[in-house]
Amino acid sequence: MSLTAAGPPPMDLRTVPLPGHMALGWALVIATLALVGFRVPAADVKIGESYLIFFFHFPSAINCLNLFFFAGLASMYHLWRRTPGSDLWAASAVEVGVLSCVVTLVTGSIWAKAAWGEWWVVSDPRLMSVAIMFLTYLGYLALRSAVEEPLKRARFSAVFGSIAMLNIFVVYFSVRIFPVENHPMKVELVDSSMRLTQWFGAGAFLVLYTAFWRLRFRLLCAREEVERLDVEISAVRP
Amino acid sequence: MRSIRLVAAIIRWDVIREMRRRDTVPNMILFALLVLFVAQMGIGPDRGPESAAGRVGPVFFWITVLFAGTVGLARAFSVERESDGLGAILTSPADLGLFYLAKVAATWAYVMVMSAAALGIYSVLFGFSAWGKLGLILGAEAVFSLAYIAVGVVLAAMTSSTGGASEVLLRILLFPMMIPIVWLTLRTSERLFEAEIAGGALGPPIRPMHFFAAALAFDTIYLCAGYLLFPKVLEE
Repeated sequence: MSLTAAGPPPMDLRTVPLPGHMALGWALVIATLALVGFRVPAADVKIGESYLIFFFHFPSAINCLNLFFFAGLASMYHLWRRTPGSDLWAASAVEVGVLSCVVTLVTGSIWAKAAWGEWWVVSDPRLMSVAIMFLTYLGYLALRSAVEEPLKRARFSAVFGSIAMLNIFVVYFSVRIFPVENHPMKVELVDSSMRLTQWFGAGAFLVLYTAFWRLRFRLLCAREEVERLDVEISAVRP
Repeated sequence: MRSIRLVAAIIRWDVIREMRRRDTVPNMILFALLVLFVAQMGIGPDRGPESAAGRVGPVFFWITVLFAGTVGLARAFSVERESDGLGAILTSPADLGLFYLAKVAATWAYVMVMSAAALGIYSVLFGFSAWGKLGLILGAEAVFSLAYIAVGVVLAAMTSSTGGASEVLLRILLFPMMIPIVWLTLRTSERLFEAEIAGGALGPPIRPMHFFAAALAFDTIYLCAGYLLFPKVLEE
């Protein structure tokens, strides 16, 4: 099916208008807030009201892993095909992934203080592995800002993005290899409204973060174009 | 067989150059000495498993091995770029993956010399006396060093071409990726150094055999990733 005859495929993310995508993301996040406020039980029998932050902690955590995973795939694709778009998709995914990782760490830390009495528990493998992943991807952004030549920047970022992807598996397997008493491997949400809110929130944040991702991708494309034009102007200027 | 000869030739070339210039191993050892010397000033005169030296000494030791090792890693490629050795490698028909393995082996040998010297300095400054575990500690140093060198050589090849901030950037990229192996090493160090580290805050100690299995798994993954990705870094 040709694009000119039938138009672009309906599920192609690039064809969805960005303002509408962004508005939908925010609306769904507000709907998640409403679900947390009015649908789920106000307090858990074990840890009280503080469990409510889970409905924001979990969506950010799972989407942060998703974004870093896509960044890793795009990096490997760039090393294979050398398409400039794949590098920019990877870079923008890392930027938004770092944002969601900050949300995960902050909400996790607040929850830890309420549930365990400590802001930071060094013996918790999942807490530590997420923090390590966050620092690794901050390094990715530092690497991009340190290399000026676009082709070299894309190549180096793709190599580092591919190595950094190993972190996702470290995070995933950390509590399975080193089980601890405090961090739940699987949160027990007994009420169906809790499970609904958990996955509705995950979907809502996914829509919002993909809107951010597209926005950052457009900005990076524009920045690359400005850099290219700058080089061309410098070449013809007497 | 030809590949092994090529790797051996590159290692020999690297070692001969280091023996002539003496600018990597002595600098690493000096750096390790300085870090351990400064660290021991803050822990007081008491020695033994229950003292501050026993509780935080092994932490300083492993951090010293990691930090001093990055001095060697940073030199590994800055020397190549200064002498245009990379240009020669790139124009030769040699497999860049083999060049990577040779570079890892040479740097690993330098770091092992530094680690052994660091253990000697540590035993003097921190009162280390568990000599019965010497073999296990050297084995732990070997697998620990191999993990960060396997990744570090790839990262050093990248950062050496970024100009003035290359050494800082190398550390920024390398250290977060090494935290899992540092954490594993610290958790097994209670058995190796016969001391309770950080008041047991890191969790229960890991048996040395489990540590070696996990560390070797990290080493293998990092070496395979490095072998595959290193040629992508150097191609122009």
